[in-house]
Amino acid sequence: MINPSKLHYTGIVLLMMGLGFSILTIMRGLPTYVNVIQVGLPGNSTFPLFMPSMWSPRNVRIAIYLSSGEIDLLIFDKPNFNAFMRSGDAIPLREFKGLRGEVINFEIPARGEYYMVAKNRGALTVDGEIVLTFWGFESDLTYLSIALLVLGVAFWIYGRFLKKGS
Amino acid sequence: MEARSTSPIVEIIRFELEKIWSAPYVGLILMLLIIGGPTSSAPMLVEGSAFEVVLSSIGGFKILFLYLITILTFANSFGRDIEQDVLMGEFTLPVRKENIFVAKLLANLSLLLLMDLTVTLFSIWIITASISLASAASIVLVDVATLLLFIAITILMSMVLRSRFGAVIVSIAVYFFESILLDSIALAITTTNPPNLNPAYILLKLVFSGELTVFTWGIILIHIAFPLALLAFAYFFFKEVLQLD
Repeated sequence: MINPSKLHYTGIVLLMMGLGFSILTIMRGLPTYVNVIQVGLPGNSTFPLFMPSMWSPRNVRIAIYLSSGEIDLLIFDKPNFNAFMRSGDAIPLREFKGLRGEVINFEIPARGEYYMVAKNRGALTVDGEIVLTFWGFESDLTYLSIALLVLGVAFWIYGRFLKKGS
Repeated sequence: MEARSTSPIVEIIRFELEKIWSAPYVGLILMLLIIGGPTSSAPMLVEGSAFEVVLSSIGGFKILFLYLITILTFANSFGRDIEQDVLMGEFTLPVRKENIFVAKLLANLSLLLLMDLTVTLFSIWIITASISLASAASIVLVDVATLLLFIAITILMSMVLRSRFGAVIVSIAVYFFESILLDSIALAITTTNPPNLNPAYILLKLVFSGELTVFTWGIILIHIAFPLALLAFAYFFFKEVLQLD
C-alpha cells in the first residue's frame, strides 16, 4: 500500500529539484559560447582542429570564412576520432564537404567528447577561420527538468488526493 | 525484524527526520546545491578535468550554502531540544543521552553528505559526461573535513548558550573570521600573487594531487583535529553536564 505522506514528501522534493534544474538549465543555456579557430591547411592534408573537446547537447552554428579554396569538415565522437587518427578509417558523426564560406547549423546529440577534423583535398594551401557558436538550452538538462517537474507535481497531487481520501 | 525496527536508535533517527528534514527543507537544500554547484559557473566547453573545474569553483556559492545549511541543521537539531528543555520525554523507549548525541550527529551528517554526494555526482556528469564515484567521494570527503569545524562549534554553542540563534551567530562569525584571517595571511605573504588559502582548496589539493604545503598542516589542525576535540568535549558535556527532561 502506498503511503500518502511519503508520496506527498517525494513530490515536494522532486518538484523543488525540478525547479533547481530548470534554473540551472536557464543559467547554462542563456550565454552563447564562441570559439574561433584559425586554419592554414597545406594542400592534400588532414588536420584535427584544436578546441575544447567536451561538448554539451546544444545547437552549434559553424561559420566558415576562407580566403581561397575549399575544405571538408568532419565531426567525430571520441571512439571514431581515435579510430580515425589510428587508421584514417572511421565513421564521422557529421561530414560537410566542399565548404567555401557556408554557415552550417546542427544539434549535438548527446553530452560527450567531440573532435573536428579539417581536410583539404586541393593542391593549394587554404587559409581562413572557422567560428563555432554554441547556443540554446542543453537538451538533456531540459528533459531532466521537465521530467522532475512533471513527476513532482504528479506525486504531490496524488499524495494529497490519497491523504484526503484516507 | 519487528524488535529491530522499534529500537531506541531507530526511534531517535525517525524523530530527527520528522522534525528537521521536512520536505520543503530537503527540497530547498537540493535546489540551492544544484543552482550553486560548480556547473552553474562552469563554461559550456571544458578542457580540463572535473577536479580542475571543482578547484576553480572553490569559494563559490555551493560551499557557502553547504556551510549555512550545516550550521542551521545542527543548530535546529541540537539547539531546539536543549532550548526548549525537552528531549528525553519525547521517546517512548528508555534511551541513553550519549546514544541521542551520536544518533543525532550521524543521522544529520549522513543526510547532508548524501545530498552533497548526489549533487557532486551530478556536477561531475555535467562537466565530464561520465560519473566518477571516486572523484565525487573525494570531494565529499573534503567537504566533511571543512564542515567539521562548524558542526562542532554549532553543537557545542547550542549546549553552552542554550540558544539556536546564538549558536548560528557564533558559527557564522567563526566562518567570516577565518576567511578574513586567511585572506590577510595570504596578502601578508605576498601582494603580487597571494596563494589561495581556502581550506577546501588546500584539502582538495592534498586529496587529489598529494600536495602538502606548510598551510596544509594548519588547515588539518584547525578543520579536523580541533573540531574532533570539540566534538569529544561536546559529547561529554552532553552526557555528564547537561540536564534534560
